[in-house]
Amino acid sequence: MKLSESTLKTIAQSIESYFIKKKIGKSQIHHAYLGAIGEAPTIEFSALIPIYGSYNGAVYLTTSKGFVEKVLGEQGLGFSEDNMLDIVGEMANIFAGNIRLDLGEGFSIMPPVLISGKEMVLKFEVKDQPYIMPIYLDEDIANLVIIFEKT
Amino acid sequence: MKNTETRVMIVDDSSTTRETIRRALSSMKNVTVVAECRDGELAVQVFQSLKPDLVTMDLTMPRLDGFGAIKEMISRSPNVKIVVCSALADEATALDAIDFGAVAFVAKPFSAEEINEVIRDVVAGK
Repeated sequence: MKLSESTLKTIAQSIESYFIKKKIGKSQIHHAYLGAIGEAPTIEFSALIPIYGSYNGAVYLTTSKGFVEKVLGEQGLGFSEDNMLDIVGEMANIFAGNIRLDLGEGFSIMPPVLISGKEMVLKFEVKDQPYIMPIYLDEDIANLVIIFEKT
Repeated sequence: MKNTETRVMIVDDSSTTRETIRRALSSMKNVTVVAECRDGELAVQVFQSLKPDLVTMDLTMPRLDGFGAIKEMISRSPNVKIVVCSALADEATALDAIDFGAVAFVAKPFSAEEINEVIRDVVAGK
């Protein structure tokens, strides 16, 4: 599904707001680009939020270890693998949940599915290209992947 | 709840969010966190045993979501104060939460100062 500039802006603002409110520092959010149809690669720590209701698909965040350590460290949280996956799940939940500001109540989200592992490729039922929005904290990267269609 | 100890239960499927809320509340006078739960079903069970004065409630959770948990808690203890803390940041969700019986809604992401201010206002009966 083609996302409007308004929706992409809402998502970028939600990401920026997270890093400001959590006092993590300045994030750099790059313009979203289109990935391969129906799939998206993982970086290392990932969380997938299934979307249902008026839309079908997923919002999924995948981060490097350095990225998630910065997020945990700035909040005084420990670097256990459980914490790393949990915080990635919560960020994905927040970024997906905030999309409702633009798409409304029909955009319903489920709790995160947490995925640990490098260089895997997640396959989606949605036969469309995902939007991939890179997020940088200094040199450390995360990708927010948005792939859904209207039901 | 004025001038008395306020017993708080934190309900959220994210352990780091529970820790963040617990730390924020630890700086508040007369507020004690008595329990933390990771889903609505467990929260309802613990709620029946501990009867907290105030609950911070996530909405999107496994097993039983926040709306279901609020409904169960309000039916058992109509005076409980429930503060919803959710990533579902749209106005319709906030109004639904209030309709279900919540007294306040905090959109994620929130800072420690924001959650403390809301809890302080709820405890003060504002």
